[in-house]
Order: sequence, then C-alpha cells, then structure tokens
Amino acid sequence: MFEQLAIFTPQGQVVYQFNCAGKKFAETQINSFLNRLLISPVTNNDTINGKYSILNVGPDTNKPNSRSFCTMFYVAKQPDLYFVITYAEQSLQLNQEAEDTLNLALALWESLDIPYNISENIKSQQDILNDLDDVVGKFDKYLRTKYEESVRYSISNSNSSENLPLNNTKTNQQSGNKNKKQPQKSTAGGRKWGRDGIMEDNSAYDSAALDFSSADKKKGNTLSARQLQQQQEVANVDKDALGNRTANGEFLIKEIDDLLSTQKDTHANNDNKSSNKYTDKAFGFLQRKFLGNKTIDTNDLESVLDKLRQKLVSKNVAPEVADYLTEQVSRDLVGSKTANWTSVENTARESLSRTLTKILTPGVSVDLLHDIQGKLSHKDKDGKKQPYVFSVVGVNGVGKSTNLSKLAFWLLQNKLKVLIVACDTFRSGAVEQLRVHVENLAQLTDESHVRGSKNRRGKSGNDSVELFEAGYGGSDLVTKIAKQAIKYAHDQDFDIVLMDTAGRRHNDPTLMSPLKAFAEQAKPDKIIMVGEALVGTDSVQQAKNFNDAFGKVRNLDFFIISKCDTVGEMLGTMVNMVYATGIPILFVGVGQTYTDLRTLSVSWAVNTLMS
Amino acid sequence: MLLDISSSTVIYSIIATIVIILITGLWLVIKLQNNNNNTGLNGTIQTDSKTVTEKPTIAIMGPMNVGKTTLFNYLTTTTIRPCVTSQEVSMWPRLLNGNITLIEFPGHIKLQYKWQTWLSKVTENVNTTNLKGIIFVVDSTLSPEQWDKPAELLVDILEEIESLEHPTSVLIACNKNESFTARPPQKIKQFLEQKIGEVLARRKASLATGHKSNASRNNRGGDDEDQDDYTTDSTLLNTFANPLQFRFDALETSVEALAGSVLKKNVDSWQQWLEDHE
Repeated sequence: MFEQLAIFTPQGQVVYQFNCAGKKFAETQINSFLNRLLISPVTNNDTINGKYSILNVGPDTNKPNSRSFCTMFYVAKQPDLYFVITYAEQSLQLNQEAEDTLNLALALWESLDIPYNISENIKSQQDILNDLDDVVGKFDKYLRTKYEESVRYSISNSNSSENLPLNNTKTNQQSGNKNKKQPQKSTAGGRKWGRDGIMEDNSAYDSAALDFSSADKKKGNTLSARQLQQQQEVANVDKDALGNRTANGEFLIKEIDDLLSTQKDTHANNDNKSSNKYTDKAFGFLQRKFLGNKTIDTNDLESVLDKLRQKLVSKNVAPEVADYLTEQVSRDLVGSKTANWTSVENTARESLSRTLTKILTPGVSVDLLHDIQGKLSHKDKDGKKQPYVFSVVGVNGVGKSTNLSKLAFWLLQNKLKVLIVACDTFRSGAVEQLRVHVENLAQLTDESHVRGSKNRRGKSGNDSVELFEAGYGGSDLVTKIAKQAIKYAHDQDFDIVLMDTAGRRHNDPTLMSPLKAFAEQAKPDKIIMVGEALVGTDSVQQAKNFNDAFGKVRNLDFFIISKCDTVGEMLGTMVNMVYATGIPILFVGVGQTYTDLRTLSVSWAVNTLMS
Repeated sequence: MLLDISSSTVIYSIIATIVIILITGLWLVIKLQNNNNNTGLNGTIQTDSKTVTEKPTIAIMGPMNVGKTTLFNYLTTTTIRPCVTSQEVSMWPRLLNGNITLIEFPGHIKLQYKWQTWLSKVTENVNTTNLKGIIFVVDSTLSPEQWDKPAELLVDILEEIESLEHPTSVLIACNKNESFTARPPQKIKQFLEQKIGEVLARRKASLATGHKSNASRNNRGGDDEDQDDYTTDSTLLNTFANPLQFRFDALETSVEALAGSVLKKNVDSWQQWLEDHE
C-alpha cells in the first residue's frame, strides 16, 4: 500500500491530498520530497519509469525521527501540476501499485475536467481552487472507490492464488476464477472461505461423501455441488454484511468506468479535430517567430534546442550535460505557451538560463566565516578550541597549492591563525613549494618578516602562518601527518588547518582509495576540490570520482574552479562539475596573485554562458 | 501632368487602403486565433518572476517553511489551506479593493534567484515600478542562534531596496506567535539587528564576488583599497561604517515588526499595516 498521494501546483497550493492509511495528511513528507528534488544532483537515482519519475528521499538530517521513503511523480503541463505518490521503499509491487494509482488519478483528473477548471481560474486571475470543491470532492470519491476496488482485487487475487496449491480440485479453480470476476463481492467471502480451512472441511466432506455414497464414484461432482452451495451461502452472508455499500460501490464503479471511457472518446475526437485545423499551421510560423502566444510542441523546439546545445558545447559544457540541459528545457516548455510577442527561441533561452541558474545556485547556505566562527567559539575544558580543518584535493596540476595559499591569504586577512600542512608526501618539491608560499604570506601579513627565518617554535613562517611538514613518504605517512598537525594546531592555538594533498588521477583506484582513510582519520570540516576551468568534458567524471572517493557518508563540500581567467567565456566546466555532483562552487580563481580568488557570482556565470 | 499626379495619388491611396485593410484583416484574424487558443486548455501561468507591474505592489518574502503561502492564501481568499513548498511565484492582482498586487516568492534557497531577479528589475526601473512594501515573514519560534539565515536573507533584500529613490517599508511579520516558544516582535527585531550586523561584518570580510582579475590590487592588505571593493557593491556597508552597529532606525526603509499567526487567523495587525501602506 502506498502512503500518500498529493496533487499540488508549483506555487505550493495543494489541490488534492490523500493519505492511504487514513491518517492526517503530512505535508512535511511532500516538503522533504520537494527539497530533495530541488537540491539533489541531477544524475542521482532519478530513474524514469516510462512517463513517471522515481526519486528516493533519504532521511532528513535535521530531523532525528525522519525516515527514508520513495516517491513517484509526474508533472503535468497546462496547468502545471505535480502528481506525487509516496511509498515506503522501492519494490516491484509498490512501484506497480504507485504507477497504477497515478494512471488512475491522471485519468480521473482529466475526465472530470479539473485541469480545464484550474486553467480557467488562472486565466481569469481567480483563486486557483475557486469553485473546485465539488469536482475535487467527486474526484476524491471516485479515486477512493476505484483504489479500494483495486486493493480488493489484488487481495482476492492473492487469496485465490494461495488457495490453488492447497486445493487442487477443479471446482476450486473455478471459484478462484469467480473471485477474479467479482472481486468486490467475494473478497471477504473468499478470505473466509480460505480461512475456514478448506483442507479440513474438505477432508470432512470427503469422508462424509465416502461414507454416505460409496456407490457414487463421482466424488468430484458432489464435492463441487457442496462447495458451490457453500460458496453461495458465503456470498449471501457477504451481501448481507456489505449491504448497500456493495450496491453503491458497484454503481459508482460503473459510473467511473463510463466516465473514463467517454473521456477516451472525446480525446480521440479532439485529436481528429486538431489535425484538421490547417489554419493552425499557417499561423504556427508567425507565432513561433514573432507573435508569441503559441503552444510549444517538440517540433518547434527541435531546431532551437539544437542551436542552444551547440552553443553550450562550444562553451565547454560536456555533451552529456548539454543534452540534459536541453532536455530540461524541452520538459519545461513542451505543452506550455509562449508569452505575447515572444519567439519560441527567446522563451527557450530564458528557460535555459533559469535551468543554469538553478543548477549553479548552492543548495545550502555557504557562509564559511560563519561556520568557522561557530566552530572556534566552542572551547574545551582547557579553554582551547578545535581548529577548523580544510583539506584540498584534486587532479595533478589544477592548482591545489596555489588556491590553498589564496585561501590562506584571505583567512589571514580575517585575523585568523593558519597552519598549512604539507600532506603531499609524494611529489618532490611539493613541501618546498608550500614553504615558498608560507614565506610570501608571512611577508604579506608582517612586513618585518625575514625570508627563511624560523618563528619562535622553530618552524617556517611567523606567528600567524606556519608550515607543518614531515618530509616525504608513503600514503600511511599522510594520515599520520594530518593527525599530528591537527593536534599541534590545537596545542598551539591555531584557528585554521589547511591540508594540501597530493594530486591524483581520478580514474586510478589505487591512488583514490587512500582518500577515504584520510577523510575518516583527519575528519576535515571542509573538503574542497579544486578543478580547473580548462579541463572540459572530463570534469564530469573527475567530480564524480572524487566525490565518490570519500565513501557513502562523506561528500565533497565545495569546489574551487581555478584558472577561470584563462578560458574567457568557456565556463562550461563549472556547470559540468555541479551537474555531476550537486555540490556548489564557492570560489573561482581568476588570476595569479593571492587576491585573485573570488566568490562565484551565479548571474555572471549564467550570463557569460548564455552570451 | 496634373492628371498624372492625381492618378498617381489615386494609385497610392488605393495601395495605402489595401495595405491598411490587409493589416486590419491580419490583425483581426490573429486576434481571433489567439482567442481560440485561449479557450482551450492552454491558459499559461503568467507569474514569471520577471513580471514587474506598474500597479502598486506588495511582496511576501522570507525563508522556507515560515508560512508565506498560507499567509498569501489567507490574504487573498480568507481561507487556510494546506500547502507545500512553493516552487513558483504566486500573484494576486486584487488585494484591498483591487488596488494592490500581492506577489509571493518561494523561500527555498535554490529558488531565491526568483525574487533577486525581480527585485533587481524593480530597482532598475524605479520610475515605472511601485513597490509599496515587503512583508518579510519569519518564524517567531526560532532560538536566538537560528536567526542567521533569516538575517542573511533580509540583508539581501535590504541591499536592493535601500537604493530605491522612494524609500519603501518592510514588515517583519513574526508568524506562529500562537506557540508558547514564540518570542515577542521587539525581541525578534533585536535578534535580527544583531545578526544582520554580524552578517554584514562577515560580508565585508569575505571575498568579493567580482570575476575579473585585477593586477593592480596585488596588495589588497591596505585599508583604503579594501573599501574600494565595497563602495559600489553594498549600500548597507556604505551606511554603516561599523557594520556591527547596524540599526533598522538608521535605514531609509522603515522597518516594523508585528506579531501574528496565520494559522489562528490572527493577522489583524498585519492587515492594518497593509491598509496603511496602500
């Protein structure tokens, strides 16, 4: 049994709600579904089941009692409506039931002309639910009746199939068939009959039959006669028990079926009519290009979308992502209508820029300083704070160390004490490179700093920025350094720990697997992936692999996209990486100096991509 | 010659008449066509975030799950209805005897671009738009440390509307005051003032949102250059040299906090505010 069925508008107005268990309808469940729908990375478990999409919603991290559930939904156009069914988990049976129920709901919805009423309300700028009570009430009644019928149908079906192996006589099979034919009548009967213990009863009858009519060898016939009689009795009891309700139910179901079939006819008629309208075609062109007010279909969009797709690909967006984006546009637009004096192309462009904005906008609020201040304000019993730990990961040569230093510079400007940790124990020169950065940063924060001098703890750097190093070695050394560094930072009262890691190829499991252990041991507050804007199509896979490398419980926290100054308008990499993971881009690197780190401006990125 | 001229004028006038008739005919047919379309199942939802009307407008904004849509429903239909997270903008053109357009924006963080684009459109076309006020709905039951997010949102809104030529008004609608954990509106205003100050201080300290490399700013350690970054960006930071001293009273925008509860239909004070700002 599914849990809830809801029909609502994108504006958030619930038009219809139905809780299967008869409990109060829980909007919070729909809200967490919507939240998930809005922030989930587009590639995640979004399987399309023919017409409908399935989305698994995990437990809400903010609410301890929440549990995961599954949703199947359909977005209708003209007017826009969401049909959502929630159920406990994805299983063949539940999926089937949800699909059937959605089919039923949609068919009923259409046949009761509710979409038309809603459209009229919208057009006359009335309240969306104006005068809908009656018709939605009717919908509710019909839906419940039909749904209950289908449930009984399936129960009686399962009953009869359970009975079959128990009683291998032909009569039982017949009665089983009978059950199927009149499901609403015989559910209880069938069940009772089954529960009465046919085996025992049968054996009793059997022996009785054998005792009394030994001459009669047609056991089966007497049996069947007896059983039929029994069946009839049960049916009579049934009728009495269910009384008027059955009659009503039957009547209703007939009415509903009639309604549904007439709806089909009118649909067929409509189709014929519209295909005869040649005038439509004559004006189609004008409407498409200049006049607007045209209902968009796939043919109109084809050439436009192709153009947009090419443009996206030329801006370094991976073909896979460009396909997805254009598909979103077509889903957004097919069946909707262009505004007055707006061409289909402009409408599509607007829709695309909306989609891009939605993808690039972070799904969580990202205020780093707030997070840092929050963590640093917690002191332990010695009055010391735990440092805020960043670790930077990425492919070789994307600018991990450079961006780490830029980040350090910004943090230093905010009067935070920064410990830079050389966790790249692999590439020769990595530690020395960081030392140069630390010397530079020390000089920038304190002009009296002498290059190469040691601070009072005997380390490179000065009081506010320092390098933590432990030479070169294998991958177990990395986690060791990380843990030592955090302890050292805690003891020496540093605010921030910045860990540089070795660059690694994202498709080499032997290089990627140490990351998981590293994240588990060092427990960084933020894991930052640096990706370069230059990379192109491979960025999708890079982001995915790095995000998956930390195991199921840990994800990347955000991206820094480096070298944005080198690509001009070709910012596709940004879209690719966010598309693949749903993780936001926080900063972009726009130059060579320490100040050339910027917060991403989504509108700028979208405008550049669309220009 | 005369005949020539007159005949050519006649020809011209005939051509002109034909053209006019053609255009009128075409226009009529198009109109008819459009009407035909309108009668079908084709009503579009014309509530794009870009719709900026010349009518006096009041906007409902705020974080997610505070009761914006419920308030919208109550103000427009005087009924309380179940609603779920909005994904689109709702609009009602006939608030208070039809004088005011009410527009409600989704609060989800991914959809904040909708009101951002709308507000920037409003501030761009100052002369043609008429923003009467903003109802900023908040949940009064939040604990003091949870006010960061509403504060951030309010900063974004204030940044936009502070630059308006004719100062507008903001109502902090402290919803859900039926709950016993609800805080009084004056307290909420204080929380917000304090948190906005902190948000502004952090904004001042965080990286600029620019996108161009600027080689001349190599040593951005200097104070004067630091301020350069913000003089163009933030009106609020220009008003408050020390962001931690942020006060609503010092703004051009008038900010008021009033308690109420949509679910208990106790919104008289807000309705009074609406009538005052008609």
